[in-house]
Amino acid sequence: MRYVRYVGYGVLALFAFLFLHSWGAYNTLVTRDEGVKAAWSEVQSQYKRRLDLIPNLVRTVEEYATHEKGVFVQVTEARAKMAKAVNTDVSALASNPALQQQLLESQAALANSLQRLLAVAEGYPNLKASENFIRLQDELAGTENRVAVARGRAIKASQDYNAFRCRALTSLYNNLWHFPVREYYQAPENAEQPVQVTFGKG
Amino acid sequence: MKKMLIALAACILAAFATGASADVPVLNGYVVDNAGLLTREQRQKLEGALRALQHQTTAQMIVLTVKDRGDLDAKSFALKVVEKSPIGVKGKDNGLLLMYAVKEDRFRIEVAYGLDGVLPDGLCGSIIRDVLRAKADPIKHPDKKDFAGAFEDAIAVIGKLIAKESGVTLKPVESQEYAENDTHTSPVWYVGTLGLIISGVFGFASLFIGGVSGAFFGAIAGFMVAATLTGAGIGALIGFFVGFIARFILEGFWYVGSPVVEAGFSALGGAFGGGGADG
Repeated sequence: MRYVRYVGYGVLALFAFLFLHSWGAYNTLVTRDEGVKAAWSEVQSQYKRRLDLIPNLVRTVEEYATHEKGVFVQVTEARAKMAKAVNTDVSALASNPALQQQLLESQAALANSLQRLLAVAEGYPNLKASENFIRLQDELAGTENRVAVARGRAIKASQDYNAFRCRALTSLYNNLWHFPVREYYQAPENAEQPVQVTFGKG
Repeated sequence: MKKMLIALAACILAAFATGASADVPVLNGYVVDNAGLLTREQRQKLEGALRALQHQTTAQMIVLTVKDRGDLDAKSFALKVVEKSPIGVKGKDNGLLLMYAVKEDRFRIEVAYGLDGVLPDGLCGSIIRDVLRAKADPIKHPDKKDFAGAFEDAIAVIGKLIAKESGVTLKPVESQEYAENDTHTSPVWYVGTLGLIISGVFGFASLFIGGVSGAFFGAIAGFMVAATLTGAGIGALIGFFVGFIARFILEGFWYVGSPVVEAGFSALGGAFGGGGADG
């Protein structure tokens, strides 16, 4: 009956392995989950960054295009409305693709009125040549890029988290731990049109 | 000695990291002149200035020229470059990439999070328009663009801004002091060269990490397994299983193979978020 002892060792080794592995898996899940939330929080702050640019932009255009009051009012109103949408709770945002879609679409609406503002500026060559306006356009292009990068990373973080959560042993443990799925909203190709500045393409 | 240890750690991490290998160049020097726009002396002079900047402010600025960007736009290309070859100090996020593509005739300055305050996007745009284009404009200098001069001026301007932010006064570069041929002082360079060698050793564990590295090291592991049939590779087989087990355990504690631990942050180097300007 010597092999009983070896079987015992084997079982012990198995439990030791499972214990270590589950410990590691739990830590990884927690960290990746926090990564997802951090990524969505980053998306929100980049959208906020765009919101913060707007008053400056409006003021600059206003200086030159004094008679285009309508567009300014529209942009300022859109901004006020969107300022609320950007402050959703991140944990809710991270697992709710509907909320993500809402955020995306509300910001896209704002982008539209921004685009209209820039279209107005097109008709004022002095404005277009002013250093201030040119720099603001750079800022705007930069912010659009940051938003796009942040969204891409948030989606990637969600994918990595979900992939890990679904692994063989991890999904087994998860029956006990109940880590939720972090779904994400994959926008169709042309859903978000970033604000096109006159240069800075390519 | 410390740098060797950092380099070794870098190689180990590189062995485990699943990098999507896009077709962007690796940054293996302060000045990566893939488009051949600079002479050797010009390059060394720029490298000297960049090395001085890093030594005096820890901010790492890299100059990159490419012939063309393929079908990527400036923003995506620059971001891929800095994601592939991390620059700047992790935590401080003070990396900066100044890039020029010949075919598209476009500069791009890519700024890490930490330098956002010093070099906001608008200012980067100004630097491109007023400093770089002053010497390298397609209309004003159709045949004789002075890239060396343009880069030198840009480095001077940017260096001054960064130094002012850190409260440091940049000491002028003594060409002799810095133009020595020791571009291999930063861990970034080791990742490219030694990484391949050491990756082979850790190849057993890498077998189960997907992607390009997985396929490559799968071949090595396969060879090792075949070698065991002759009895000579028993050690390799043991290593294989040890690596396999180790990977699972390590994965928990060190998140090995986790490409996105914190979104957008690499294991080495500073974090880039898509800031900067092009023109």
